[in-house]
Amino acid sequence: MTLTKPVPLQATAAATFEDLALLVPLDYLIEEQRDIPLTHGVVVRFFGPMTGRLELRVSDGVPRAVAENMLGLDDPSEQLQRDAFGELANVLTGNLLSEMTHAVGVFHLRPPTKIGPEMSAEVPVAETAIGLEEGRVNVRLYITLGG
Amino acid sequence: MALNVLIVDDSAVMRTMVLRTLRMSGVPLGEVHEAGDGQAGLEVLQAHWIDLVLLDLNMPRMNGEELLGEIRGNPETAAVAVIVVSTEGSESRINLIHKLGAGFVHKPFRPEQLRAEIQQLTGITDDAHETSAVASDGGGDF
Repeated sequence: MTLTKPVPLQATAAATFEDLALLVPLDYLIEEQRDIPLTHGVVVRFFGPMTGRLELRVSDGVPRAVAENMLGLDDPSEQLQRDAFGELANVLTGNLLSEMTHAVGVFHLRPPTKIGPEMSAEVPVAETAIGLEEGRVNVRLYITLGG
Repeated sequence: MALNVLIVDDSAVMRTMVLRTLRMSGVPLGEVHEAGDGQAGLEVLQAHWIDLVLLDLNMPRMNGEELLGEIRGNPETAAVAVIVVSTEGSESRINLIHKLGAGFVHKPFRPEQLRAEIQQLTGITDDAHETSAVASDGGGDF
């Protein structure tokens, strides 16, 4: 599906990482970051004026940094890392949909669900990469209905 | 006056984060209760004196709007201060929340945003914050 308006994916993702997880993003990847493998993934499915999903994948170390900063903990458990990472994806999805629809319409979001690091061949309507000191981030937006 | 607070969110991580931000805001806290959905939140409200409810919208069993309706519909809890903390962006839904006398703070949020909303709803002053911060030995380090 092709959208008629640009998707503010880059700006929303960067703002979410910065505001929620206190991780300062670069809107590009430096040379050393490009080949860092993505090892953790989560998907948030949404329904409403648009139906689709947001997939967030990050490299090793990012979920730990997210949990440490969100919760103020020095050594968060793996469960807390997963939960914090999922919550970040949830907030990112909610804010992105709000930006895309200019605060019109009510969306329902499914709880964040773990996915593998490998990406499907399906082409997203928007994709962005963010560099962090702790690693790299890939965000893909798929819309199957609406938009 | 220390506020007895109830945090209702189906995410344990978000409850922890809300509490952490609340502590950073310098608002004087009394008892802090947590609930994982609206139904559990309602049970806490029936069993304890609560001054302030921080409420997520999208939750299983009973969502935030339903809990807010229950709070306002019960004379014993109708005056409790409620702040919805959500990623919700729909203006119509946010207007409905305001019509029900609740505040709204958008996720992610900063301590000063939360403090301002609490001040507006409860009338608690900065003087009370400062007194509490001194009395609690650095608990409010905002």
